[in-house]
Formats: sequence, structure tokens, C-alpha cells
Amino acid sequence: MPEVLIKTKELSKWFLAKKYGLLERIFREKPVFVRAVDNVNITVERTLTTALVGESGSGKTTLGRLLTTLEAPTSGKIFFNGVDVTSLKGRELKRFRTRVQMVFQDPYSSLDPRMRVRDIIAEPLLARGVKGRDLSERVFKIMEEVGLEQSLAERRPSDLSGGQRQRVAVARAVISNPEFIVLDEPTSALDVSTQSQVLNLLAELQNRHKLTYLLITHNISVARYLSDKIMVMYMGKVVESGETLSVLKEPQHPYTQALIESIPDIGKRDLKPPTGEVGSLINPPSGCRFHPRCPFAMDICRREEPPMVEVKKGIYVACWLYVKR
Amino acid sequence: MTLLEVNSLSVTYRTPFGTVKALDDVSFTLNRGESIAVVGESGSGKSTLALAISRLLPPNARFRGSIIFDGVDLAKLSPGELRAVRGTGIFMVFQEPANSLNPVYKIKDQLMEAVKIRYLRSNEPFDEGGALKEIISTLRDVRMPDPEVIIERYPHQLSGGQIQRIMIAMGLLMRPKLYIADEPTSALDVTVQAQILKLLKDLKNEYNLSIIFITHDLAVASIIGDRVMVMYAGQIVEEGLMSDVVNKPYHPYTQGLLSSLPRISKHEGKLPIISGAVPSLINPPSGCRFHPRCPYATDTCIKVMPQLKSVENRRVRCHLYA
Repeated sequence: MPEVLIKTKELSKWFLAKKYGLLERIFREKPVFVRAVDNVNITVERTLTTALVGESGSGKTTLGRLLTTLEAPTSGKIFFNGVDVTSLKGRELKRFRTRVQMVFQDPYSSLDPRMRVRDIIAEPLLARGVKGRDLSERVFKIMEEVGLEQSLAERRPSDLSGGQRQRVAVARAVISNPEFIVLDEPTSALDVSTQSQVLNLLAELQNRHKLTYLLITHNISVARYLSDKIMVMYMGKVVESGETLSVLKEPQHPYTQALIESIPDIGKRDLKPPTGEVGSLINPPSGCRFHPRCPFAMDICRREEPPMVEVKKGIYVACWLYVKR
Repeated sequence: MTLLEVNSLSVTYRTPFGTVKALDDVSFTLNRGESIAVVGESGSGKSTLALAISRLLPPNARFRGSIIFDGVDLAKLSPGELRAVRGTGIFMVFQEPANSLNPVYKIKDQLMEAVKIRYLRSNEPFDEGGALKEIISTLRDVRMPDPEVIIERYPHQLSGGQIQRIMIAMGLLMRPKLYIADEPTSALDVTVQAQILKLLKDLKNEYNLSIIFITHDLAVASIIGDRVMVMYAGQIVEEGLMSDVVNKPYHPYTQGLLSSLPRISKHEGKLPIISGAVPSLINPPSGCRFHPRCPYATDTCIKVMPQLKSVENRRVRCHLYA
């Protein structure tokens, strides 16, 4: 049984949807919030990949940024190895941040165009005070591991192809041996033939260094390949979580079912997408947020938010269909 | 019945770094009521093909060949004559729909203009009330919620999915004969993508629309295309019925594209890859343009460029099938 690395408790992030300045305060207007992440309880286990899947606006990227402390939560707590990181400040926060890393979607904008490849990769080690020969040895070692030729070390990002740039971003993330890496859509900007190369590399590095990944993606086949556990998000809430292959094979939540029915595949002639549009995050639908689009919506779904229940071993679903009453 | 016939179309772009050979000797035909999916990676020339057919190539482009649409060679038309073909003859939807609408006019005015043009060209009297009814019912067809409210809005007040649906609705209001869509769903969420793919399929059957659907995703292509045309480095490498090609791809590149769609878990092993990267179109590789990445490459492939040959029901550009 892998041990728990991260656990969140009623984690929420609300953004102000509109300016709330002095005038608004004087006229006692109510602030308007977008509930990007709303009351989320999740766990991330060591040495595994946990995938966060969902559509745009589901809160998956915000949740990833909260877990790496790039964003401060509105309420709730994050426990990293049992320590509450939401209360860390100053030097302690800085120390914590050396233990987490992130790989972003677009390698064209996440690398500094004026820096050389070797300096980009060395940066996390430089920040920890590694110098001289030790530094360059470790840079070359990691470059070899991610499949970058040594001759590229003196080049700048503009000389590299998309796939090579994403390898640089991966090398920078792994070089400091972080305990936790967030991969935010790591292959969405790449061509199909390069996507497989980067996915293979990520799986290989994880296996060799026992890395813990949080994979944020909207691409279900990427999640199927790289993840062990999956969490499906809809409008700031986790609606289903469990072992990846089991969730993808037998989705329980009506939204997960609709999502999987929408994915085009060879040999699938018809898609069955959910009807309607994603609701407003400022005024989310009452009760279950999926009820206006759900083919099984009942009276209670409109009134009360469904609790998270275990429907099978290790499979959790937030849906009234599975609540025994 | 043939609607479009493209004959040995070649396009080059002049750039400060040299001449980019974006399209090389592309020929194909499209029937009325038929859909063809054009599949390829970035730099394969698939978007250039769409721009060339709609005669929207940028000024630094030069093209050769003929594009016979509905009996007329578009390559020979003047800008004024082309205007008359656009909209009601050929309608094009782009990947980034946000720039396709005028930001200072309401949705209603822009859709109204489309209907007006159609009436004008068919010499029918225009009636605003009837046109408005048609707009609302077409917006319902594209599954737009609250169309009466939406048409009073400006483009910036709508989401990407909504604008894409407005563009598709505009296409329907113009009743084009040929509908060209360049990655229309790539920027959208999967559920919206599925809604739009389903809609396009329904409309094709209902209005006998011909569709050229350009995408990098073979899975998306397989949903919409009756036929598929796989492009690599500016050339057609394989073309045939969708079901034939996805069930038994002939060209090594098509085989690679199909097998690199991830369908397994990391516990089952590595994903098959196509090694290397897409070649430069300023100096394309000698012989077969795919040879540096091909697992079956021989000496002949390095020296001689293979021709697009008919093999059974399809066309393949590969020495393996000579």
C-alpha cells in the first residue's frame, strides 16, 4: 500500500469575479466570487500518478497550483507529509517549494528564451547552492537521461523543437529530486508523434526515481497511459475518483459516463455527448452542479449537494444515485 | 457527382530563410454530400490546402495547379468573381473562431448579413422577419441555448464554443455547397467537440453538404470522414475510404500515426513511437520524404521519390507497394 503524500481538507479557492475596491465597500456591495475549487478533499499517494481530468473551468489547474503553493487557498488545508503547508511562511515556505516542481503545457513560453539550455536545467540546483563541477556533471547526467544530446547544452530554446523543449522542462523539474511533480497538460502542445515520446520518458523517469506525479489533463488517453489513480472534476468539485482503469472502464458518475462517451476513437461511429452547456461558476446550479445536464436528475439533486460515497472498493462517487436512503 | 476536383496543386511560400514548399502536387476529388478528413501533423500542409482551395493564401504564397469547383476553375477567377463563390459556394471555418466575427456588430446583424447575401445571390426577395425566424431556428439546430438572448450580444460576450457554433450556424444560413473546417474543434472541450461533430454529421445528411475536415487527430477524423487523406511534408501519402485506412493502413506513416494514439497503460509497456521529427520544408529529405523516420526505409527510398499509386481501392505513396 503506497503511503499518502498529500491530503487536502475542505480545500477551496474563490477568485473575485469583479473589482472589489473602496467604492464597492462604501456602497456595501456584495463581492462576487468565482468558485474555481470548492470544498475538495483529495489524497495523492507516493510513487504513483494521480490524474486530474475535466474540462476547461473545472478547476483542475487551480487545484494543481494550490498544491504547489503557487496559489493560496481561500479556506481549507493541505497536508504534505502530515505537515500543514497552508500556514508556512518565509524561509519555511521557500524550503517547502524546493521539494515540489511543475512542468507546464506550453514549452514555447515556459522556458526563458534568453537562457542557455544548461542554465535552464541547472536553475533549481543553483537555488540550492550547488556549484562548479558537481553542478555541470548533474546537468549532463540528467540531459542524457531525458534524451537530450550534450551538444544542445549551449543552445537556446528557440533552436529546439517542441519535443526537445518539453524534454528540457522535464529535466529542469526532475534534477532536484523533488518529492512531488505537477504535470500541467505536459503533451497538449505537441504533435501526436512527439506526444508518445514524452509520455514514455515521463513513465520511465517515474519508474527509475520513484517520482510522485499529479497529472492535469483533459486528454483521457494520456491519463489512461500515465496514471494509476484518477479524479474527475466538474465545476470545481471532484465527482468521481478511483483506480484509473476501473473508472475509465466502468464510469459510475453520469458526468464521467458522458465525458467518456464524448471521446472520439477509431471504430466508434457515434458520440453521445451530454446536452447543454457548463453552468456559471459565479452562480453554480443548486444541489448537484451537474443536475441541469444529467439524464437521471431527481428531485433531491436540485435541492441538496450529493455526498462522496464509496460505491465499489476504492471508487468514490458524488452522486445521489449511489446514496442508499 | 463531383463537386471539387483539385489537380496537381503546389504551393510555395517565400520567406527570408528560403522557399518553403508547403504543398507538392496534391490531387483529389470530392463528391457532393461526401466528407473527406485531411489528417497530418503541424507542417504537413493541411491548412495551406484549405487556404489554397478557398483562395485565401497570404501574399508571399505562389501556387500552381487547378481547383475546379462546380465546373469553374477557381485558380483563374478575379477577386470580384471569387467573392461571389465565397459564402454560398465555399464556406470556411477556422480553428480560432474569435477572429472570424466582427467585434463591433451584434451577432444578430452578422447572421442577418449572411442570410441577406444568400437571398441576394438567389434573386429572392428579402424579408427581415422571415430571416430572423430562420436565424433563431438555425441557432437551435446548432444546440445554442437561449438563441433570442445570444443574438443580441457582441462576440466578446460569448465563449469559444458558442462562437464556433455561431460560425457553424452562419455556414448553414449561407447554404454553401462545400464546407471547409480547419481544426474547428481543437480549441474546444471534448463534450462540446462531440456535440459539434454530431451536428456536422447530421447536417451533412440533411443538406447534402460536402465537407473538408482538417485535423491532426485521426480519432476525430474517423468520426466525421467518409474518406481520409493523410498528408506528410506537403504531400498526400495515403488516401482512401476511412474504414479501409483505419482498419488496415498501408503507408508506414499512417501506421505510425494510428499506433501512436495512446490506448494502453504504462504498466503494459511503452507507447509505440515514430522516431525523429517532422522535416524542414525548405530542404525536404531526398527521395521519399518520410524515409529518415521510416522503419522499412531502403536505398531506393533515399534516392527515388515514390509516386502516389493506386493500390486496390486507395492511393499510397510508398515503394513497398510498387
